[in-house]
Amino acid sequence: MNEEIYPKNQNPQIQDIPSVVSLPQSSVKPSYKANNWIALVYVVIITITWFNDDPVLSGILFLVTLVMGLIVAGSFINRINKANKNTQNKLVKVFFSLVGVGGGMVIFIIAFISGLVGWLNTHPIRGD
Amino acid sequence: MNLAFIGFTVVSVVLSIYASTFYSLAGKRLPVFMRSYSLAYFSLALTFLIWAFASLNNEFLKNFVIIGDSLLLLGSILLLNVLFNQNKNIKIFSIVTGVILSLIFIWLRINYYQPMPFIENGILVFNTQTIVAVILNLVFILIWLPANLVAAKKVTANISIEGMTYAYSFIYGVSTIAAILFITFKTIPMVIISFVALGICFVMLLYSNYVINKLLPTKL
Repeated sequence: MNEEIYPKNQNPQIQDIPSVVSLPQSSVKPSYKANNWIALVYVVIITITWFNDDPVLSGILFLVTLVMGLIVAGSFINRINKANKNTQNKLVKVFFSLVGVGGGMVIFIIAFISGLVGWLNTHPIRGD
Repeated sequence: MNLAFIGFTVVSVVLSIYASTFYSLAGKRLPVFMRSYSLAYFSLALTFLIWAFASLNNEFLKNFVIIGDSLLLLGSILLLNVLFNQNKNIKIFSIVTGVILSLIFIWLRINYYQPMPFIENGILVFNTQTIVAVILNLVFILIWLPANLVAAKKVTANISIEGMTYAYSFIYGVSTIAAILFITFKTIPMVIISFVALGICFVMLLYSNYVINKLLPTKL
């Protein structure tokens, strides 16, 4: 209705909307780039972990995957929290909270089991 | 208590709910081609249901795993319609190629790489051969993951809330990775942990469906 009554750019409701609703681009892009690099390094480490035969190296790589899992999960939760703060919708807030907690857990579990498989390759539990 | 039966049945129900939501939205609040997406997930739900019943009877375990693989490939072919919806020629070519490659895969699975699943302490371990696991993982990485990302973009295209596309892409992406790990692992502790990760993903998927229903505009 408003579009019919008011010409473009003269609708009072549109003019009331502040111009700083969206996040500044500079605060979003670097975190995406960092995530891509972390993901790439993570894939390389996992690949080495799965095909490695050295027990000492597999232990070190297991720890590295755990630390990287924590970093990636933390970065993800941080990104979701930012989005959560920028919305007023209760349904979306619950959604972001669920995705933040659940997603963080899944990232860490994936990092944990990926590293654990490599470690178990060189440290058999039952000697088999 | 057969944990495999309970786990697979629950996943099958969750996937059916997920698929039915998309089926009801396709053509009304989402593009028509998203119906293929929902059918692919119905196919995946049926796969899990078949695995659930397979875990009850050792006699039919091998055959049921092959039927499950076939349904998984059928779902993948349906997803090609989502992936290449923009170009009709590429879509037809990819579907025909997908059907031929699927038939070759099933023939190889029956004759050369027969399934060797086993049940231990109520847990179904697929014990998939490395080459078969690699092929199935490639199907997930090259078809299911990109198709899910396309779906995430389509779903959030009309929802103007910052971070929604990122959240949906993440849920669909991480669910695919969890599924890959679940199929790949051959030891019981790993199967259980990866299934827990998959379970968390399904909870997020279900709630994401509820959010879609509430936030999408009533008409395209």
